[in-house]
Amino acid sequence: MSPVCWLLLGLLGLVAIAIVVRLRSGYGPPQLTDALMNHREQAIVAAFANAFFPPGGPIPMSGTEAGVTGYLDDYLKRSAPLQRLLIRLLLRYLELEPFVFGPRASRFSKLSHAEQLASLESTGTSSIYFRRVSFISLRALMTMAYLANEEVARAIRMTQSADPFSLGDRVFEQLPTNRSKEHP
Amino acid sequence: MTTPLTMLETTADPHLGVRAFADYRGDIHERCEVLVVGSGPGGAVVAKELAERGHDVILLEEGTAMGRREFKQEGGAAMQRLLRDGGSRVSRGNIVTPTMQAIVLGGGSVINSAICARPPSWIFDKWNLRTGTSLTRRELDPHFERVETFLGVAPTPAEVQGERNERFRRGCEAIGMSVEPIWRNVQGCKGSGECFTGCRNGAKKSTDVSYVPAAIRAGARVFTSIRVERVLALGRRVTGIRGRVVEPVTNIPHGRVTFDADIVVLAAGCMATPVILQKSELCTENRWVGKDLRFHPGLAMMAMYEEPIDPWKGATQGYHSLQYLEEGLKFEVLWSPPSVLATRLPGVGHSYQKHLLSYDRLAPFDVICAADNSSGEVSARPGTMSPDIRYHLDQADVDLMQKGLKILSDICWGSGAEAILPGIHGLPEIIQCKEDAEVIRKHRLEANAMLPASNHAFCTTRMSPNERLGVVDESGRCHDLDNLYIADTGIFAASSGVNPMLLCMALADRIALGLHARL
Ligand SMILES: Cc1cc2nc3c(=O)[nH]c(=O)nc-3n(C[C@H](O)[C@H](O)[C@H](O)COP(=O)(O)OP(=O)(O)OC[C@H]3O[C@@H](n4cnc5c(N)ncnc54)[C@H](O)[C@@H]3O)c2cc1C
Ligand code: SF4
Repeated sequence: MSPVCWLLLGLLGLVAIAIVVRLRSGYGPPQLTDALMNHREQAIVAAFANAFFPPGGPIPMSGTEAGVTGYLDDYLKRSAPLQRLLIRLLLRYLELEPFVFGPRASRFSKLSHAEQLASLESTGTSSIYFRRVSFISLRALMTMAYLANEEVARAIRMTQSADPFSLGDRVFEQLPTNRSKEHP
Repeated sequence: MTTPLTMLETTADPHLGVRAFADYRGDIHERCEVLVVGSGPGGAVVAKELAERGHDVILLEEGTAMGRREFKQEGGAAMQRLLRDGGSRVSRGNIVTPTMQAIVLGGGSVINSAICARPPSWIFDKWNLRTGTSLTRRELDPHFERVETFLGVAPTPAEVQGERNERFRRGCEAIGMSVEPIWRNVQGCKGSGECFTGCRNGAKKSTDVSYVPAAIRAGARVFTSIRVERVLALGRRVTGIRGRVVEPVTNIPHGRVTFDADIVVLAAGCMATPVILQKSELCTENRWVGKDLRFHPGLAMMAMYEEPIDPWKGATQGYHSLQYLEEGLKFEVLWSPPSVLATRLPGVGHSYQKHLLSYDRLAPFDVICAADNSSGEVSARPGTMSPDIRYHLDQADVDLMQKGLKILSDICWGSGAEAILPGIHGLPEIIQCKEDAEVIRKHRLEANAMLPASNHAFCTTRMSPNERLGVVDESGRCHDLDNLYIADTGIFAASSGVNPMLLCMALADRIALGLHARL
């Protein structure tokens, strides 16, 4: 990289730090006790969780109700320091992304639900590769956490058995038949 | 020569005799005749074959032994326990490609789908063209046979295929493509589709429950939670290794270890072995250490059916098609933990939730590409043993993968899909009829439109009889050192065309028998 690029990157970094410092306040109280994530990170994760998995949808349980924040905190606790840092950076980056890419200059967690969806759609379908990769990484984390909840797993009839053929169709008799009849 | 035991003769607790973190007090200093680093498909074969021939063998493994009751089905927890970097390892370059390596006794064989495929003979002609090797399929056949016999490799039986696998078969047959049950190293498979998170049924004959116990029975000493950091050498001879005891899962270093040996065999996998060599400042004159990394980038496409097909039922990967192998494409059924697969579904918010509900109507099929035009490299990161991986996916290979995607789409339609999810940036998220799928062929794809997985990796210490073209010779010995051998997929001279495990094991068998003859 040329020195000009480094300078620009440095300036961008400073601006980002200034924004982060200014926006430190304004997050609600922590939801988890004994957590690794601080209250800001918990609020950011909760915002992403409920954007991906809002309440009152085809799967009634929302992201936070499904325990996504707690799952991610445990996940981070078990992660190696570098992975932990990268995940935290990813969360912070996506929280601040609307300042650059819209839909309006605000933290992700402060956007309305419709704006949050627009923000995620724009990141996921962006022509910028890095944005798409960061979206996929976030979605992977959120999905892993959401599907780890047993009620969610039951809702989507996700069965894991060490001996599935011996179960025959009994598995499905035990499960609610709430599968979407709509075709995509 | 010892008659090979079959797997049926193994003991009840397959990890009996394996030394673990809890057994260690302070620093360790041991000596042996042959020291093998890494217990995956390469290292475990070498350890067993040499121990059974009377050699004093020590096998070192950084991961721990994982009993079948310890396997977790939840995707995140499983990946954190079994995979390096918790499964988040990626290469950088013109694409970001996830590449998974295991850290567990048994290496990749614990988390892989147990696919055992012999590469066709023309693969070795390609190797010859690249690095001048004279290996042939005919020469390797006895080694394939020995490995297959020991592991009980056999075609996936119809009873455990399940609807997901059967749909793939029907899809291939409908479009006139060849399709066959996959041969696997399993015995008593119940079709749980859980190979990736570890076989709870103990059916998969990963090396931790096959070759490693056999090595122990023959007298080998196996130490887990030992990370090898340096190979020690004096002139052209290595004298042993230095490393650390590492805490399971966290990998926090504890006591220091030194193992002296007459022969060292590195089988730490094609990402770790070059890093160990680089950190040890060995083979520094050889320009191929860590270079020429090759992957089989793989892309998955989801077929969506009108009715539930219970995709979790059935062998993880039960059928494949080798019809386009010579062009560099292999087609397979795929399965992995539901939370990992679900990531591929489109949408956010309620639309994402709606797609999650269609999960029991989905089947993922994948295409892996030989990617002969693409390559990368692995280098040691300062202050750590983890590799910095770079990889460039060449446009010629992107074009080939695009052809593969189109064929995958035909298989999906042939299998009775009512919609397909291509998972490619720039293509529709869902395609609802065969005619619309023409867009897959017409749209010009570039590398960064896709996010392939690259779990088959090789060539970072490639084989060549010519020291200017490779790191090891055809016996697996490093050109620059008299008694250092390599026996992991790093020694492949080029792509294996098919899934690499069986070839890695056959080569390791050949290396072990060659070493025995020389010792
Ligand atoms: C999800 C997945 C599915 C796959 N499915 C298949 C399949 O079905 N069929 C197939 O043919 N191939 C498959 N593969 C690929 C196959 O598993 C690998 O090619 C194979 O395991 C490579 O064997 P190896 O001995 O070279 O290395 P590895 O299996 O990686 O073994 C290396 C071992 O060395 C240990 N090690 C590394 N560094 C050190 C160190 N410094 N000190 C001590 N120990 C160390 C590691 O912990 C590891 O146990 C799959 C791979 C993945 C990730
Ligand atoms: S499909 Fe299930 S039972 Fe069969 S080998 Fe894989 S994990 Fe074991």
